[in-house]
Amino acid sequence: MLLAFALAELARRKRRTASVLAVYMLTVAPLACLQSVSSQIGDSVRLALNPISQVDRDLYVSATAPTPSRGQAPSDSATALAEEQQASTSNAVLDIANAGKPGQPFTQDIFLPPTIPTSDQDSRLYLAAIPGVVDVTPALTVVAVKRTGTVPMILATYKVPPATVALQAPNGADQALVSQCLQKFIASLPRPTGPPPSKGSSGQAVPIPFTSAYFDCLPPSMREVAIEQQVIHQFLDPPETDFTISRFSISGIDIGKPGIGLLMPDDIVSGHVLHSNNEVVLEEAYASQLHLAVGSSYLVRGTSYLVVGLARPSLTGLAADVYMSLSELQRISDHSGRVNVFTVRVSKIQDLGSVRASILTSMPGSQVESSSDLAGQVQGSLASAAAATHSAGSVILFLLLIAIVTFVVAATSSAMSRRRRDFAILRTIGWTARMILLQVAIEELCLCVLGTCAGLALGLGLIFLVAGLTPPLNSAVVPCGFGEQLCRPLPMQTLHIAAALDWSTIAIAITGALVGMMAAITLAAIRVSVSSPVASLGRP
Amino acid sequence: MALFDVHDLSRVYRRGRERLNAVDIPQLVLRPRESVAIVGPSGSGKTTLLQLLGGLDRPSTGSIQYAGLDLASQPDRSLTRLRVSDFGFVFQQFCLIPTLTARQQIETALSPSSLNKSDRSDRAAGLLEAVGLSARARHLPGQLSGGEQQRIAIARALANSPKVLLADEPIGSLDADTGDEILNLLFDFSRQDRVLIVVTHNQRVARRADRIIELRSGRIALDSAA
Repeated sequence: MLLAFALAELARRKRRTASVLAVYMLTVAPLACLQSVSSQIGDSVRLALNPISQVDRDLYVSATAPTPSRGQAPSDSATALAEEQQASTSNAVLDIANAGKPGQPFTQDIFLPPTIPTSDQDSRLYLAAIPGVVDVTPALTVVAVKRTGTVPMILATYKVPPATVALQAPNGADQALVSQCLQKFIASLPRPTGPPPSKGSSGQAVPIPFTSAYFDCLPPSMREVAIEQQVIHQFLDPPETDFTISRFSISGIDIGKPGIGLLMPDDIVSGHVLHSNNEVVLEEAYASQLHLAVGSSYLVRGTSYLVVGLARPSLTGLAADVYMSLSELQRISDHSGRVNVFTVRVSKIQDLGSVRASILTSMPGSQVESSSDLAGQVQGSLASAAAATHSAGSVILFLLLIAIVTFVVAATSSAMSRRRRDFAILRTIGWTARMILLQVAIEELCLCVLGTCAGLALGLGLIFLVAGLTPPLNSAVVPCGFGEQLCRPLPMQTLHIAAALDWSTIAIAITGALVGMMAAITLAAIRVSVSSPVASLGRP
Repeated sequence: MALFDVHDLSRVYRRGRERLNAVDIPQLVLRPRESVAIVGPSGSGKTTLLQLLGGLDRPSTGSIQYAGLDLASQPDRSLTRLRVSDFGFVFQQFCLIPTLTARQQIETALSPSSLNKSDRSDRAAGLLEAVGLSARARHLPGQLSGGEQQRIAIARALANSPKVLLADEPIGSLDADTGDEILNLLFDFSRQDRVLIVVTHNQRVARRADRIIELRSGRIALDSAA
């Protein structure tokens, strides 16, 4: 009865019904379109970030890289890091002379100075003692440079320019001394004992033996020439090389605890986890780049390791290109007994905050991050679109709600005025204000349902239009772990806006329409409550 | 025993600084089972008195006792209940809901009652038959003649078996023959142990009533029962 009455009333007041339906359609449609696009972008962003949302009970602890301010004495940790970096830097120099003979291919792995200070791996005992912590495992992550190429032929030719050294002439005193010395020298010579020289040989001087005693008679300025130190700058043509330099990160993990740490069993997409020191697991994209697969050999510092698995690490902020045994990495990188990341697992997710606080209190200067902290940022057109829908979406949503309320209330107000007589008749025959309001509410609900359905249909058309006009949106997610050297991009996500209505879109559209409906019903309630049968039926 | 007992009743309308005393009745008693015609020229307060007696309006001063209840002091909710259980109204302009069929008009009046849907439907059918419009049950007011519309209005007024039927110029918009038919319906009703109060300026209608009260300027100028 009430529904039939309501539908009959809506049919009777065609203009009002059409205008209210139009309001619902024209506001619900953009609302649905906006929500659908925003929802798809949000889902895509979540999909892009999904890999780092898997490990939710773990904290990652490292020492903070100190940054002393100007004029401030470096702290102990800063000094330690500086010494560690200096030691690593001295090892990081490429020595081509020792790379091999010219023409021979070579590969050199050089571990770069650490950006994350290392600490003794026994520090995990402190962390394990914190209430709420159920497990701790250390890891060492370093960045290395791999240089490959052919040892070049290096040949440099030096030509010394001609020079004349002018000797200083002896002064009078020196000449007297020289003369006196020479006379003594000649006098000391043995005299000849044989017959006097013949005629033919007369006139020839007797040779004087040129010994060191003779030179001793010369003054110092004639015995030695001092040449000042010279700096010679010479441009050398660089040798032709075919060097390729690539940087990669390498993590040493505790292979005895595969269920916790920087590499989880679920991260393995091919092969298996590490079981021994002569094995490595490669990150999937890195392996693909090097054309390596499970069973291949991977060379680090001249040692060949068997690739036993390919991984798609969930902790992309702390992900590495290469995973190997912690002890093996410590050995080859000269970091024996040192680690720089601890994975701390708490008993339940609610303990994350308290455990984090305890770590920061008991280990001043440490840095604690959770998987959510590693989300980093989403970049690219998808990020721009997400930011745009986030900022503009709220404003548009607000404006659309205002529009719904304004227009529906205006249309309802007008209709209420026209229906005063009908309401008076109903009051005269015994209808209460509540019954009349229920009748109006049913009418408004019908309008709301019809308008929302029509609006959703129109919205679907709008989404089709947007989907056709919007270019694909790309995301570049670059989560960073402890230090920029551990930033690495996630696989690119591309979103093609689809013409689809999901439940959230429908829910938002219905919510918007309901807001309008409730505003109309509220207005109707006010009007009906003050209505009087006599005033409406007319006074004498 | 009085069904209505009116004392010092007045109804004043204010239009700016002007006060219009529409009704000013020191005393009036209406008894059960009588039909009363309220007559008088236009603006004499006939309709105002009818609305006051039917609980549609409240007096400015005085009291209207109906079956022991003072209508002037009753809350809206009680007056609404009385309009369902005790009072039925018939107006000159029929006052039908344009979007409801003849049957729905009656069912609408039955909605506030405790009858279930089936009983409401049966009762509506019975009333339509009583007013001779069973064949027009599915017609909208716009598809009915004036007389038919007024019959529907009477059927609607009788839907809850009221004790008092209040009619305001019930044949004012009808031709003579149709008016007679409507009057027959109304006065037949008053013979069923009920009260009929009819406002009219038609002497033909007034003559059929048991009692005639003439109003002039809101005051009772003539009461045939006095």
